[in-house]
Amino acid sequence: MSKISKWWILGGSIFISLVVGLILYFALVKPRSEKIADLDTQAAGIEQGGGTALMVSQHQQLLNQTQKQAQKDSSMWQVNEARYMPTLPYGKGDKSSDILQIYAFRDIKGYHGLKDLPEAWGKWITKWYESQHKDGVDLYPDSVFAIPSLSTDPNAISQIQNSLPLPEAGKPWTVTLLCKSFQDAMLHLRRINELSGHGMPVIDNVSLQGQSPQLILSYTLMLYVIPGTTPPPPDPRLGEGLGNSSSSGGMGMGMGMKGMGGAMGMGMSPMGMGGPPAAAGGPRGISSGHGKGMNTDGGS
Amino acid sequence: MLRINLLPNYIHERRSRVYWLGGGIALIAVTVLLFIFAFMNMQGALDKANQRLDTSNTYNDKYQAADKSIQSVNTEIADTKAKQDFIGASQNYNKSWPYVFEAIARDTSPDILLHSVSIDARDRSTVHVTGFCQTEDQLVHWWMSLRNDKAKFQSVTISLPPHPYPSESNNTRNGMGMGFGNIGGGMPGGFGSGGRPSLGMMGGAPSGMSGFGAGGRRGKGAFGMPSGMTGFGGGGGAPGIMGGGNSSGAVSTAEISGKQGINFVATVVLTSVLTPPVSTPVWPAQGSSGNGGMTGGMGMGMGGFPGMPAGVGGFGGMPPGAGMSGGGMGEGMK
Repeated sequence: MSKISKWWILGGSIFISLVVGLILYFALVKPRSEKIADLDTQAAGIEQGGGTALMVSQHQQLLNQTQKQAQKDSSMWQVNEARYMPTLPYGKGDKSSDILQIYAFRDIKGYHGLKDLPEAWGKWITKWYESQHKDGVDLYPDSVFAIPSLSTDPNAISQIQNSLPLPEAGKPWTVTLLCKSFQDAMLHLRRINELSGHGMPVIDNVSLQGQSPQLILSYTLMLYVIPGTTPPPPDPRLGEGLGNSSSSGGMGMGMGMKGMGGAMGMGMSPMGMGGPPAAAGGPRGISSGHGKGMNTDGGS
Repeated sequence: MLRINLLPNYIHERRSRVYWLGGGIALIAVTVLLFIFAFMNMQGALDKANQRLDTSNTYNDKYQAADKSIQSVNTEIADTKAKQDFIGASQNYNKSWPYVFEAIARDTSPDILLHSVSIDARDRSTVHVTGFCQTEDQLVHWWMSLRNDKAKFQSVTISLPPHPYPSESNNTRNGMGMGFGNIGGGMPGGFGSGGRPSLGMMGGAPSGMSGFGAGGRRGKGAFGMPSGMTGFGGGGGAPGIMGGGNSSGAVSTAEISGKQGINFVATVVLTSVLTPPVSTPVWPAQGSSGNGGMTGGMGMGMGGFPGMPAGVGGFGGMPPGAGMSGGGMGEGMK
């Protein structure tokens, strides 16, 4: 001990202090520091994902807005459904699921069964356009709003899930009107949204031509019926005896008779040049055949 | 008085060693204490971090609950919302058309007589206009007024008559679709390719703008045709209410009610304020098939006349006496 100088004591103390300090640092301070950093990181991540009072409050507001918007959409849809959508024989409180009854007998706009829908709609839309006469708008003479027949297989009703486009999906009517004045034409266009009870009308490709009082207004028109309820399932006891079980069977005949001509001609000939659609011969100038012609342009 | 240390040096060193030793122990103790102090201090930070984590977890739970509720509401309402959106979009779409026509009408000078106005179905922002005015000056003035209405119109293009020297007689009038366009010219009118299958007015404008005879834009059925063959000739339909004749160029002389003037073709690009939505509202949304059962359709339908070979300029189905489907209108409107 007597040999140990003060420098040895000083050096030794410093060394022991360093060692003890290092031990304490690695044993106590560093783990705790890391734990704190880890907790902070976790908290920051959670805060970013919505774990702050501000974000909760914003989200609550968003929830309130969403609920309000949902209520608004719901009530608006109820209004619009009542305004635009017809009651199909299987919709709106009609619990019967007898598909044959629906097809043949159930009342639809004064007609019997869903089979009569084309006639009911066709006559109604014609009448609506005829009623525009008092507002200075006349349907082009001999115009017919042709609608292809629905399938003759009653079970095909089951396939009408949430949409029944008329006259036919992607094949609108081409409507041509004689307007007494530009103003009459514009007012007529504004009245399109008033077409009610037969599906949502959508007009497209509107054009004007000529001069008053023989101003020609033309556009394409589609009616989108959105059924209120899903149709009943097919009746397995109904075989194929009543009609073609394929979905397009019955229809095809209808179109074939009415719309032959241009549109189909194009399909048959790879080099065909289109040309005007078949106006289906005079009286069917605005038949669905004409509508098909429009669509061959690809622009609508 | 001078103090003299007479003790041996080792005695002094022994004494100071004790001090140094005490100092060394103190240094170690201080070091330990410092670290313990720091450790204790970190406990506060740890508690804070734990509290922060708990708080954020609590808020996050509320956030997640709200989020779940939002999703739930959205899921419940999705179907109804889609329907309502479709109705809203359709109503707006239907309403958008008169705005465009009225905007054009409001900016049309009384000196200008419009024959036709149609909106290009492809972009819904290009309006094709054909009309008549007595003098070129009037037309240019109208052009200027349209051009200056930047709020409504992005651009306006009107074809003006040429002024060569020496002047040539205007030889652009044609009857019944005997168009001789700049491209592929000279084909008989009645066999024009693909005239827009609706009314002739839709075809008249663009064809005039591009300097073709009449023809109109070709329909889908025309694909596969060499482009040079398209657009010439008369609109491809039997002359109906629109007439079949067309001018060979964008501008031609004309006479209305005994007044000489020029027929012109204009193309106006609308600003977005007036532009109808590009996509037509469709229900159900395109790509999904809601039903297809009750409406079928074309399967059994008869085809029209097969198209003729392209080099000849085939015609797809002449409408039997259907006056509704003419090609361009142009001169036929006079």
